[in-house]
Amino acid sequence: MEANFFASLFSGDSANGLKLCMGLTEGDFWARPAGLQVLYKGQDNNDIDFDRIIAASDSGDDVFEMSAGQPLSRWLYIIRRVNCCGWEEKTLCAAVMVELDSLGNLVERSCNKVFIVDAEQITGNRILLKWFYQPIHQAKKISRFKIYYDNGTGVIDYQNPISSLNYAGRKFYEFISNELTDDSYRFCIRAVAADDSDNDFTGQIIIQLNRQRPDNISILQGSVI
Amino acid sequence: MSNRIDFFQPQHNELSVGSCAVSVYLDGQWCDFLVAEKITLAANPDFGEAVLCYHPSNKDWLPEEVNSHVRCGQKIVLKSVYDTGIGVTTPDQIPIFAGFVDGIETKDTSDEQKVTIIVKDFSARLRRKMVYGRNIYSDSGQPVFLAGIETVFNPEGKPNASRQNILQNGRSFKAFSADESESDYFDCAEAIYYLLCSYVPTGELVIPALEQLKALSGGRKIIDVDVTGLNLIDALVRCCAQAGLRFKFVPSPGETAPPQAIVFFKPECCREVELNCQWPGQVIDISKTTIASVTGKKNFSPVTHRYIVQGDYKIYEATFELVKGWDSALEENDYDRYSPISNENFNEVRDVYRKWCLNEAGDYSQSPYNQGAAFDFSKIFENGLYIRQKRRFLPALTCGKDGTSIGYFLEVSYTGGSRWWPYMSSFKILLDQCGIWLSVEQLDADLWFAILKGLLKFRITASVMADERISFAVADGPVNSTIDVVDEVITLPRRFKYRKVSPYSIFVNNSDENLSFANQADDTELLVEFAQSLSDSGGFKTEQLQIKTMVLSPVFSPGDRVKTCADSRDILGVKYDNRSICWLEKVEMDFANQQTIFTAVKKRK
Repeated sequence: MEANFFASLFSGDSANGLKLCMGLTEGDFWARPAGLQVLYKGQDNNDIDFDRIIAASDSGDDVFEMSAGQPLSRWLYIIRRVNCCGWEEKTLCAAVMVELDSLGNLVERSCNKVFIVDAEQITGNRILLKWFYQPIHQAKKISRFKIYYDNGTGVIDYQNPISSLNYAGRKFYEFISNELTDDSYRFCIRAVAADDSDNDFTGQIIIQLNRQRPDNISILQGSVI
Repeated sequence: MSNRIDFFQPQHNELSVGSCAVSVYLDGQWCDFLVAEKITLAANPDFGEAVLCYHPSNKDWLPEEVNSHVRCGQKIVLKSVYDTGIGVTTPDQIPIFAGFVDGIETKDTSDEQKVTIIVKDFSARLRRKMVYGRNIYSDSGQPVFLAGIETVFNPEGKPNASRQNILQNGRSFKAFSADESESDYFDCAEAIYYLLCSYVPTGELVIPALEQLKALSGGRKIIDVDVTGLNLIDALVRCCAQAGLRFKFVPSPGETAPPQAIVFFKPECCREVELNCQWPGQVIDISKTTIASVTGKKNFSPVTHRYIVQGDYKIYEATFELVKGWDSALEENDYDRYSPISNENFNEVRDVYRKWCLNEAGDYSQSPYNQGAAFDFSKIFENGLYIRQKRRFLPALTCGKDGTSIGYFLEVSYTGGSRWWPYMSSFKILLDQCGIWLSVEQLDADLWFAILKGLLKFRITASVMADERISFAVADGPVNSTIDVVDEVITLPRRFKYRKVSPYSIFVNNSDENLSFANQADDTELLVEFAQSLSDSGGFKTEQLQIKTMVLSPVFSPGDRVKTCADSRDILGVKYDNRSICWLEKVEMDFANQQTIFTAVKKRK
């Protein structure tokens, strides 16, 4: 059994012992032969108190009900499974960050940010943007991409996207701009969910157009071979 | 009766578990026209390989134009996506394979056009490097490469490492010594480090520090390991075998570091991974069930493997009193008869008074020699385990002041053995038996008078090779029981020696100023260590398993030890068989079928 559960052995009357049902056997036996899930919380992953069990549930349950936190609060919850012998897994995989706004409402998360973006200057002073999106653990299902740019001003206009592409599965997506006349441009690609919420991604792709051409040939000589 | 037909659409049309894919980077640039089909991770001897498919989205790129986009030798890094955030999704990439384009296969038939890119890890490059010559530490401190000398670490147990490090390729390491009289021993870690530093340019491969190698090899010695003419991989394998080490190539996570690292490991010391399977009747849960299918093959067991490591034959120095090696009927009191100068028919009596033997095979026990029983070696050899056969004398182990053997120390007695004097004239050592032959042209007067009195005797201090080798046996299971024992005999005469000055030598515990140390050797300790390491890293496998996973996972690595959770079925038998260890020998990621296929082996602890 895990060392941090040993406090429950004293008649099972500790805070953790009650949640682990050790009181049923007065701490003599591990009372959860089917295993269970325990919940911990903290401000961030360095702050989680793994000695204090917030709640416990049967291993088959998939819901923990907790009282809501204070407005503008933020908590990281970790769930860990404990097996039939009282051994607990050591992982941070099952984690959720709960963030409340000023009204105490849950701050909703949207799609993931666009993953890999590559830019290439093509003929006609145009720019080819190529990117990939990973739907891994996305909070909302992606619907489409919106592409924004600064029109050479240095400030991206997030109100008026210059293009929109529907998401059609895991593949590379491309966007070709119109002819660009200034030297430098900024682009931004956002993933947008079906309810039109986006991820507020502010990452920018800064493009410096190369307008240099090779020098003209100054000497041309011909000979008979 | 109704002719109505109802159509139903599935409510969920997406996979509950998304497919796993990897990003391909070609020479550091993200590449969208190569798709990973299969990645195989393995340690020596197979090593890692990836198979990529040429699949350009641009239809103008024809398969036959692949060479304009991909060339052999280009760097390939395959990266997998994972969620780095805790509680908040933050996708990031981690390299799971790195290598070089090693080959391009094309198939262009009427029904299929396919271009396959074969990528191999750094092992392919190291296989193309040949090991020869030696990097020598010169007195100036500069390394000197001597191409014509064999690359042998501690040949025949003699040290040949320099005491100072050389600086080469930006690395400081121990090289070979220019003066073998002032040398240190290479240990296993230093030999491996020498090969890596000498043949792998800085910045191409991350190599472990010498201290890490020493800690892993446990300071294991390396003796008489010749790697001349081998490729670098085979040379490393030969050195690693001395300490039971294996190695693999893994991608390096750093952005600025070389893309690959060589990792040395022992499977019994690697991390543990869980492969679980739920009990029948439970709702399937991919976090509780890793295994989709298992095929296994158990070898005949239990079998005890006994490793019998043998070194060279034991050699003992002793002082041997010699007997007459001639027919006594040929003895006469005619001085001139026994000299080739004064007797034309000297060959008829050439052995008389001149040939002195040990009679080790009993050849001189019967008539006409009648020199008594055959010589008894049992006290000198410390046991009676020898064959009565002809041998030959070898130089004595005792050394003179110059540090070299004194050779054959022959003494003569004119007083029937009560006093002995060094014999200063010439003699020959017989090669077909233990004996000498006096090669002077004429016997001197002192000899002749002793012969006449019947008091002449000879004794010689020399070495003799026994019939027993230095050896040690280690078994990985019970012996002298009902379990079959398979003996594996490994004979390494150049590596392990045993030479001893027996108590029957006149030079044992000598205090003569003209003599120095004796060239004794006892490699028993090294031999025991070697036998133990053979037993520990023995190749006997009790079971081989092929395991397929439910979903493709890139987190497994060769060498991972397999265990099973307490809640899981023991479908692999790792909980039941706690006397064996089970580890992953090969990890194959099949992107077409979205499965990881493991080759696992079990071995007795």
